[in-house]
Amino acid sequence: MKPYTPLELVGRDLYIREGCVGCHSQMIRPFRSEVARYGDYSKSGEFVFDRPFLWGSKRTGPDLHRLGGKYSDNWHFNHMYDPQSTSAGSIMPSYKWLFDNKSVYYDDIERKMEVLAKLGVPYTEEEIAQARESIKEQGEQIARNLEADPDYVRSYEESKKEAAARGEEFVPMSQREITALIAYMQRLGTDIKVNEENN
Amino acid sequence: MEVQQFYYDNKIVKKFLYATIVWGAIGMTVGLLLALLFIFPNLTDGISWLSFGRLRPLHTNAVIFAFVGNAIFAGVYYSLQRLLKARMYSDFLSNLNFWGWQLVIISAVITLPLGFTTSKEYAELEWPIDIVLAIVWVAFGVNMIMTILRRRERHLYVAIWFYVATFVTVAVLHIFNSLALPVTALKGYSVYAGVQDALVQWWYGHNAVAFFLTTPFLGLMYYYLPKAANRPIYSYRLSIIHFWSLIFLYIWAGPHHLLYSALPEWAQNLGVVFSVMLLAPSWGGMINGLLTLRGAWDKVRTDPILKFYVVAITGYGMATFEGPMLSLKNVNAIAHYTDWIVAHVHVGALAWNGFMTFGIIYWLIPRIFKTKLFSQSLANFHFWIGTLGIVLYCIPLYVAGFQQHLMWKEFNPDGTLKYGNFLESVTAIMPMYYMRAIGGALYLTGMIILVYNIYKTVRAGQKVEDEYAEAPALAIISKKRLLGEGWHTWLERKPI
Repeated sequence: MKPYTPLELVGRDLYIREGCVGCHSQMIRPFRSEVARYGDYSKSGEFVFDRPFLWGSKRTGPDLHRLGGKYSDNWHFNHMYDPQSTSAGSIMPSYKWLFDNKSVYYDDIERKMEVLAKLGVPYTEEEIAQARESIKEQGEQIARNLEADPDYVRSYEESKKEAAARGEEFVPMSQREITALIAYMQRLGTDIKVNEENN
Repeated sequence: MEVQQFYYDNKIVKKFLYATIVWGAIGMTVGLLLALLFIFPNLTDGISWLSFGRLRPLHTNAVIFAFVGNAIFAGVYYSLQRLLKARMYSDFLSNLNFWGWQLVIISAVITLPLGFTTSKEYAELEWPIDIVLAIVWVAFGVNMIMTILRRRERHLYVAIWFYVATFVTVAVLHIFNSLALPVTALKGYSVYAGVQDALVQWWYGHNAVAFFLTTPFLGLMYYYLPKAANRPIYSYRLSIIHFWSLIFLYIWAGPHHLLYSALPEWAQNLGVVFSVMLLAPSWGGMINGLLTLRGAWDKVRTDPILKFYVVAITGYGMATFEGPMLSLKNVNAIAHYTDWIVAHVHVGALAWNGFMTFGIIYWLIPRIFKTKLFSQSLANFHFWIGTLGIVLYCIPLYVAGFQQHLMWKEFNPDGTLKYGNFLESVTAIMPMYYMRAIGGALYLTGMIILVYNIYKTVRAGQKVEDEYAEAPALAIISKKRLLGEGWHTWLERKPI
């Protein structure tokens, strides 16, 4: 098990901030129906670095423990902006403020990682020193992934012009809150390796 | 012995009652907003601090700590003084308790919608507020215990045992579950991780139900029900037996929130066993309450307060039967994560906590304002619309819960999931979500009627004054057991 990367940690704290745990669980039970729907059932070892745990109590929406890799970054981008656009009939509210033209806040990332290290999460000093670099790199990778969708590219360029018209400095998508959240969601449940033969 | 003269503090009771009523109305309104967000998800589109995820903990904290919490203090401060024949030990601590508690609530109202949250259920408040909470709670406990030590009535009535158990256990639960290392002034990380965090959280979470929503209310029941019915409690012996077994068994029930999770199986099984055993002491409380009304059932027909208490205690019995059933692994496999659990919570919260509180408010306000309740028929109407609200809230959600379970687990003959898209189960229960919102709206309407009725009562009443009382100080008796004295009686009169 590796700890969350700095960007994933920022994303996880956004998940907590928005109260996602109120509607989504992260604990797949060892039932055939749950394994068929969500993937392999959740093992205790996967949660060793989760502070706090986010197992949840209610599935107003589906369990998210094995969300990582299930949908593209674009799907998450569109879904968080307007859930009904990807999922007709969804009662999930939109999270448009995660897309605002401002930087995700992570001035406290070193402090966060230091506190977690003190609590036993194996972050090295090097990893903490390079946290901002890592955030930048991982964010830019997600931003590049998003460009796979021509609609995204189009509206992204549009928004650049709109920001210029409003006289605002444009914050690239790699640095916005949604990118951090996508990083976290794509990490979920990817820590176990499933043997292909068992499927 | 020379008779001593003193005054019961009624002003603190008044303050807590006002806070109970105001926060109750607010907490239930937030609850209704949440119910509406299920059926109109775009209602607060774009406003982050009015989104479901941010507001849910505001609702739970408001109804549990602000509404029920202030009700506990109101009920305890009134009854404790009279049961002990002593004024509260310290007016300063009484007021610290009151203002400190409201400060915690205001902090919650500001921080939670802004997203400053630990995400741990009923423990969402961040670490600085946790510290204030602990200080205020300790002030409450010190005030209560010192009053007990200074009492003029030697025998500690069962209600006081419940109050003391509440104080001690909630303090321990709160402190241990809230342990976190601060990162910033408004963020900390839990010292526990993963499975351990889950176990500590649900040890806390279930015992918040046990020692915040149950034991204080059993204590209040033991005072306010006999007062309203003008009958003694059915069985003193039963009250002692169920008190001790309840507080011992409840602590272990936490893991029933984690059945079929990654929590080790031995811990899950402990939770199951103790939760099932808990049925007995819980029903001991229900039986004692309901049988107290033997010979007084005709009064229930006319008195709205007794009506509230009957439904409250019955609801308590229902919820404490359902709870052990839900703790059986096979039942839990059906109910966990579904709306059945939400229904279960609201049976307990709306019937037991809500209705006990309403009964106590309707009984206490006329007394401390030295007047009659403005309208008995409005109080009766509140009872009926509230009861209907509970039914329309809970039954649709039971149905929804079953529907979810059945759809989530159904397979096609070829081994694929019949409802592979989770959304299908959401769409199927939308009618139930509509009905739940109606049920909640009815319950809130009842609350608003209470606000009006109490307002008119207060307007017609006199200014709340401290109440004069006289009683002799305790005679000094030897610490040793007296000739012919029962062992339990001797035990009861030991000083602490």
